[in-house]
Amino acid sequence: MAALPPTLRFPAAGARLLQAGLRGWTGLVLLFLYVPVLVLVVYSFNSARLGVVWEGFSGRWYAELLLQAPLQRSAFNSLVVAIATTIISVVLGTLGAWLLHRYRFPGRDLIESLVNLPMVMPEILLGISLLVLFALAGVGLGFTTVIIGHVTFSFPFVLVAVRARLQGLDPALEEAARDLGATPWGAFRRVILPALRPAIFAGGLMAFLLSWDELIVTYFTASAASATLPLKVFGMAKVGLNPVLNALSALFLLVTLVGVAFSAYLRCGARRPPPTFPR
Amino acid sequence: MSASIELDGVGKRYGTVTAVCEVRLTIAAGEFLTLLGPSGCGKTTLLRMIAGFEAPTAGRILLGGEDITGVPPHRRPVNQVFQGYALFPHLSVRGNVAFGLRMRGVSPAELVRRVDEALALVSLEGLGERFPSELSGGQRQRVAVARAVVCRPQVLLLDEPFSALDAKLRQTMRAELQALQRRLGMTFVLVTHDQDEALALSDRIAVISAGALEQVGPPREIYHRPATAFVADFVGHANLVPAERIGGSAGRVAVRLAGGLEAGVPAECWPAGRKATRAVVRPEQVVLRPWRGDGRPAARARVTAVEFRGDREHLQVALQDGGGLTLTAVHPGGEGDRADFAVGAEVAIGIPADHLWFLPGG
Repeated sequence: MAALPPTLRFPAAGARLLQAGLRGWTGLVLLFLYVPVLVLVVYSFNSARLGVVWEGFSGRWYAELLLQAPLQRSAFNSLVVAIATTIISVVLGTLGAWLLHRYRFPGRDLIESLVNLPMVMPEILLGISLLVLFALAGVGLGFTTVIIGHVTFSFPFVLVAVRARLQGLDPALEEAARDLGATPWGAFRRVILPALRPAIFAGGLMAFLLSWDELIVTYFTASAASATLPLKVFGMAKVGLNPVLNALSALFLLVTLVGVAFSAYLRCGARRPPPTFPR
Repeated sequence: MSASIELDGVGKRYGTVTAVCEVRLTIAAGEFLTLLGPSGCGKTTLLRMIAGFEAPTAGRILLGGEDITGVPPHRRPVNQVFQGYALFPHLSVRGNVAFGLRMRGVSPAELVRRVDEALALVSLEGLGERFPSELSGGQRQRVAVARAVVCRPQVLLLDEPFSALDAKLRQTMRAELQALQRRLGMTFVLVTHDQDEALALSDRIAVISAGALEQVGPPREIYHRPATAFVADFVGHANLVPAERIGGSAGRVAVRLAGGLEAGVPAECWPAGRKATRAVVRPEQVVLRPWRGDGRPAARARVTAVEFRGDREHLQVALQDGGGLTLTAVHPGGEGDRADFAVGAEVAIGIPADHLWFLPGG
């Protein structure tokens, strides 16, 4: 019997090498993604005023953050805008997805492709066009305009998520509900909506996060009073790097992470819905 | 509790395509009627029109004498067991069964009582808190049935309710469904493409082909006295053998079948006024014997194929004088006479005259 090549005689050796290589590569990718964020978080605890040298652990920048009323004000603005955007996007996106899924009407295909456009449209274009529109309509810039701007590009994300879920849904579910005495609206509310819940949450979270860190559209549509956190941070960073910004960014990151964790929790919860029937 | 349905010229067209053409059919209160036909024949469309999911483009639908053609599905006293069941995944078994009662605003105490009752009816007590994803196929079907009958509909519609079950379970559920229908005395309308199911369950079968009724009648009549070649061939297997009238007297008709067999049959089996038509010969009516040079009334044939089915064998036999006519015959699958009925063996074929039926339409 001829001697087998080493890779065949020890098939595990080659496979193990490949596996180690892949693991290393994955590690590098993750490092590439997260090192900047980690550095930022670590340096937010650096006591040095001029960023790059580590002088010692300190929470003073977080303390200083508490004293900066304008920052807190803009963080609050961000929250208001993000929550309003989420609610409006969820309602618009869900109903839009239902209409596109359930009904056939002239112009439906056109609407479907137009609705997806804001997702890929350059934000600067969106920002400028909104600004022009608001100016033409004589609408003063403020919370309303920021929220309208954010909803414009956020709700398609909800729509797409819900649409995908709808397409996977048994069309007989709605008929079963109707058959059992539900009106069209009743069938939607009691059967379709609960089935869509995971997609609505996912889309809503997406809308929240998109709005939460949106800069460019906000830049064009906000007034001084309705400036959001990213806008404020951007303004401060233009003046010069500031350890307070590190602390702020770390907190910003925290909010985002909480959002992501919340969605993961919801996804786990969705696997087995709680009984809603009284025992 | 149960009502009759009258389909008064009910038709459905999609543009230029006719899905159902002007069906006239009365289903009696408490009857178990099956709409039987191949897929795409319009039987499901017909059922959906009774449920209210499709609006007929012609005719009226009457329930207990009342016109319900324009009534939306949620206001029809009709409930359906869906193909694939369409159980609500976010609701427990109890939640699913209670759904229809909640929609009707039934009081909480009565709701609990009636849900319990319905679950007991389908022997699902104790599984009320489970979710559809945690049930077996048979249990899901029972939930679907309980969910539909709990509303006490005048008519229960069943759309291929057994198609998601394996063969063994199908038998069990079939028997249960029939028992349930007897107990409730409710009008059942079943849609299926499975002739076994139709024959086993129904009081009457309506055979549908290409959107039109082919024949309506009790299972035995459908099987033994098919009105058309389609019915003969779709319900069970049929050998359609050309036949001509060669004489007759005193309530009997002398007939010659292709292949040379001659028989005297009761006159009511022969379509009045016709010279020739086709005989419907069921495989189990073909009597086989090893060929030993017998003459009439047996015909000589050769076995060309044997299909073993366990309790019986299906044989293809080519008639010697039949102009290439091949019949399907059923033979009990005994081991002792296997050589006599193997491929290539010569056999004698007899067809008892009393079992012959002749297609009225030729």
